[in-house]
Amino acid sequence: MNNAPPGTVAYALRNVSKRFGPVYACHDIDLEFFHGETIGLAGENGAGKSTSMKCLAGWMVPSAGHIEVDGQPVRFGAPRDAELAGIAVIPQELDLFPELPVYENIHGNLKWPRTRTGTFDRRQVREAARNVLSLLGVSLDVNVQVKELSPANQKLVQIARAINLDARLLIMDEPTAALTELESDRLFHVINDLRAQGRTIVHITHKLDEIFDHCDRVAVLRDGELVAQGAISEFDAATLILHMVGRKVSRLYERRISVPRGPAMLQVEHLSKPGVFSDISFTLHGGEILGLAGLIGAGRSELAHALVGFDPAETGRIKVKGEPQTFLHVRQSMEKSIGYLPEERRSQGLHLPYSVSWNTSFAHLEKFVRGGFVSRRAEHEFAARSAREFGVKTASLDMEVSLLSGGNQQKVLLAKVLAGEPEIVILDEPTRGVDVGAKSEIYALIEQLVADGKAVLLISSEMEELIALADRVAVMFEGRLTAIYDKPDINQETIGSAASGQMTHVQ
Amino acid sequence: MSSSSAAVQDHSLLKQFAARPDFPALVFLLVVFVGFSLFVPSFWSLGNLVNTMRQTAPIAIVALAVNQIIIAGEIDISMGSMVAVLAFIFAGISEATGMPWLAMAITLACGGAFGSVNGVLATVLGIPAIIATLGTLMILRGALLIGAGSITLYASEATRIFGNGRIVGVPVEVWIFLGVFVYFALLASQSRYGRRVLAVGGNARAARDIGIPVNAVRFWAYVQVGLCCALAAPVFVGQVAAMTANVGAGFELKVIATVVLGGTSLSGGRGTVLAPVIGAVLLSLILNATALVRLPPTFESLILGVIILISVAFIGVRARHQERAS
Amino acid sequence: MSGLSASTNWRRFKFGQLGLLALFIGEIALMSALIPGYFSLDGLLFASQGFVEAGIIALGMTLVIVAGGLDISVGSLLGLVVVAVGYSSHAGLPLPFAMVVGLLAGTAGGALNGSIIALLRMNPLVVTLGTFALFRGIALAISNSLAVSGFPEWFQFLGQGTIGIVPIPLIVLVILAVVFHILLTQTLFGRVVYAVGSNALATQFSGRDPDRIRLAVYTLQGFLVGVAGILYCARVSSARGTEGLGLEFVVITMVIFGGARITGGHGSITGTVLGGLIIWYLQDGISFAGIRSDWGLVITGLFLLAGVLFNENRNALGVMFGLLTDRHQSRDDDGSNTHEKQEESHVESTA
Repeated sequence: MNNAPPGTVAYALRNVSKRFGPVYACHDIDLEFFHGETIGLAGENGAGKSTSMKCLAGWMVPSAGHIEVDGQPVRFGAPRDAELAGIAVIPQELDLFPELPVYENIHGNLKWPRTRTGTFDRRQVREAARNVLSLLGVSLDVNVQVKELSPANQKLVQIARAINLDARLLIMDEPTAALTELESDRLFHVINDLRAQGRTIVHITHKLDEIFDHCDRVAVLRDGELVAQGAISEFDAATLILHMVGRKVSRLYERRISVPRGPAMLQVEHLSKPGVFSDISFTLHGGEILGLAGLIGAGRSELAHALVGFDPAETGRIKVKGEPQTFLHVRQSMEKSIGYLPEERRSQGLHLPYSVSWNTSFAHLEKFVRGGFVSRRAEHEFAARSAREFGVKTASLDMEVSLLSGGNQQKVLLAKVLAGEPEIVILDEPTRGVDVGAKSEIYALIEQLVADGKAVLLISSEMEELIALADRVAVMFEGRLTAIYDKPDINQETIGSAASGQMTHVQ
Repeated sequence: MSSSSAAVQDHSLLKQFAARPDFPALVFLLVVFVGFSLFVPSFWSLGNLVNTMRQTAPIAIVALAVNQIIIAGEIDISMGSMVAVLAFIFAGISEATGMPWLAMAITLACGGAFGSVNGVLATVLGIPAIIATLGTLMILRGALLIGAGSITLYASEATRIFGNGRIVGVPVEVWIFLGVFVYFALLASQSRYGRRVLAVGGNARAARDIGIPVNAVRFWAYVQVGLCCALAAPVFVGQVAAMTANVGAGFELKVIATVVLGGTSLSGGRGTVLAPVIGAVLLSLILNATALVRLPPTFESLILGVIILISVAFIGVRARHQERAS
Repeated sequence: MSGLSASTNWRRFKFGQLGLLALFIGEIALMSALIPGYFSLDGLLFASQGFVEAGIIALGMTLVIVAGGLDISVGSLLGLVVVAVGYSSHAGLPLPFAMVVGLLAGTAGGALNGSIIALLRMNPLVVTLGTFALFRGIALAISNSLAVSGFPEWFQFLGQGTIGIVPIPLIVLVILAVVFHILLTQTLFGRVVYAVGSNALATQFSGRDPDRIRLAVYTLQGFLVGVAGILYCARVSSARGTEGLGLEFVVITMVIFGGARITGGHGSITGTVLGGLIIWYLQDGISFAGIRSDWGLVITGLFLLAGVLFNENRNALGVMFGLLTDRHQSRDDDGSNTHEKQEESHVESTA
């Protein structure tokens, strides 16, 4: 904690550039960070947010320019140097040790104090951990193994570790990605406390509403350049997106086609899996987008897994076009024309070392088999067609999918799932980690699906997305279906309150 | 300001104890011990038990080090060849100079060197651990066969003291084992290294991010295996009457079986120091009992296989059960 | 992994296999030059006999390793098959039936491995460690370490005879290698095997069953061990329970040297065969030159390590030789060279 008055410059990037060969990942970034503020960092994937922050935190050495700490130019040879200067990174993925208790995780790599007899003084370490947590206004049992904590509490432990190192600048990368709305609110309370203590928070996020709700200033990066910065009051969503994308995007998305509701395609009746979800009933019609909202942990993905046979439910019924079905394997649901886009595209969806065409055809290889063997030509033709249809931007179909951007990877995955021309499509967070440009392209694809008469179940944690796209929105809370709203009733308040269990509205 | 709800502390002491990775092994050990005492003739005699402890010693010594390597998220399968080569080095020097302690010191240095080679291959050169140690297993065994393939070594009384002697009435190998055990116990509970090993095995990326020198931690774990093999080698020499270049073949099988039986998870980040000890004792007891009931020695392999498979199945079922409960 | 433009993915793959081929040819050439009398077609073909058993088993091991698994029990299973064939024939069963018994024994052993690994989701190393001991134990228990010999002539012809100048076992190996190559590269099954090795979870979401594939590859492996065991009996004309000691290590070396990754998802039949040939013929040349055969073990170990190092750095070497360009190094969206995931947090898939 420092006594410097809020508003003075604590840290700064001075004309920082980072080059890789001929390519600039970030160029001539000049950005100041003040004591006691939260600054949002916005930009599409590839804009240079990550690179510039890595330079700031000592993970990379700038090719040009320098970092300033309290007005003095410094040089970080290693992340440890930045740590000593008070800069800490809270990465998006968990970097804790699941089998170790909270107090060990908070203490990190620091030396342990010893008692007079020479043994480790665990009591002192535990005490110190509790103190740090109380600084955050949080109380946890420090003896619990981290793997038993909720993602929200794990995030708090991550922050606690940084505070334990007396971090004055915390760079948070998508801190609410795995958090429910309620947990996010609590996190922002903690962040506000830290801000009041004179610390600086850099809030990197794709969620623009968070920037408007919780940040004092915002900086926008595009193609490696700092294109805008200033107090948050100087911006609105449209101008922010304009800076990020470089072209005018008025709303997140506007649906262009209105599609009449078709027959009932999927009927779910009293589906239950004890401990995960209970008594889920709804009907999905052709030509409609049914959104599925809820906090993380509400059981949405688990419901989807049960619907497609990955992790079947225990009681209840699923009917496809009126006929009862039992899905014990994913293949069975695929045969009944259900397609599922998994939540985590890298670990659940794609085979990263293999090519675009390999990935596109994999789920429905039978279609490309000629005389017992897989026809590469048929596969390639299909992949080329899909790439055109879905707007996949890649130098070649033989390129490894791991090299594609998030948006393009998602499109490949979508093409793969739709290769079997399913009539019922379940999309699980289809635009997570996808930049604004690719997002609207994916929305257009989704709209095309329902225009063709398909039924779409859209699982999403982004309110804006649901509000823009869905004809109806179902909301889950702690495994129960608390509400199903029709278009006129769909807005932030109704969804939000149903998602936190404060309101039920079932037709 | 809101405070989060703590994870409910409903872990009674007994439950915590039962959640230890080596708990099933402990129970199994108790069952085996009681069962054998009742049903196997001449099992429960001091001579037999001491004999069993002596047989367990070399396996347990090496298993303690291998246990740590597995906790660190790596693996080592070259122990058999290392022990064999080191045994010959030890015996050779001891016979030549008549100074077994000097021979022990040199053997330790060699053991450290072998461990370092494994370490370099697996950390610096980035060769997957199983492949790297498979390579050294073959190279060392081959080198030994080339150098000493036709020799049958009969060690003198003096050379055999590490496997055959007693200090204060307790066999030397048991002392060595106790020393190694205390070392690892202290390392695990009171040293920075012990904590780092758990971190590296639990989440190597995160460990690197917070500044733990992951490669150094792994490297030292390999060196430890080499050192422990060097400590076990003279015991081998002492316990075996005649030694050929094939000595120790299948040793790595027993050591890994020991660690697995004790409950340490092969995925790393989780395990106790007691686990390999329990495993070693279990293994020896079972093999001892089969000998006592006059099963021909060719059945040893069979028994070993069945034991491993049963414990594997048990661990697997238990893990699934725990997964479902959480 | 470095990113490469356009079709260099294919080129990098082929570079590896061509490199192995070049290495093999170079090795034969070098040994022929250095060792007088080495190079004779008869001699080379004769030397291939011993290679055949390991080679056939290596075909199965390739499938297993590509699927992300591992099997260190193959040597013991070979011993078991050999004993099964020998002892059932000795007990009076007509030889063709004894051969079937051998095949069944091998397949059953593989299926045992597969079912425990697939159903209980246990670490393959530990499970096959157990079966390594179990199979050997059964083989020793049945045979009591005694050898059985005295097989009819036609059987011995199978193992030692030739068609033209080509030894029959070699023909069997070639046929099997072609079959398995096609299986792995051209069929749907082969694709799924690769898929399971590279990402089992995604494979499941794509409607395939990784467990079934795992069961299949281990069982196929067992079947191939059965074939190899029969040929072994035929060649050596005796059956003893101690056969195959240390074989698993040689086989694994062949597969890894041939380009497979222990983590799965990469590897090939041609690579394995070429890798095996390289290792085998080096050992052969050495023994032909009168050097002790124990060097074989040392050489195999060195090749294993060299093979892995080579595979990991193939890209760097490719660039060096000007066969591949350095133009498009793998980058994340923001241009950084570290594969930090900017996007969603997630749990790593467990294979």
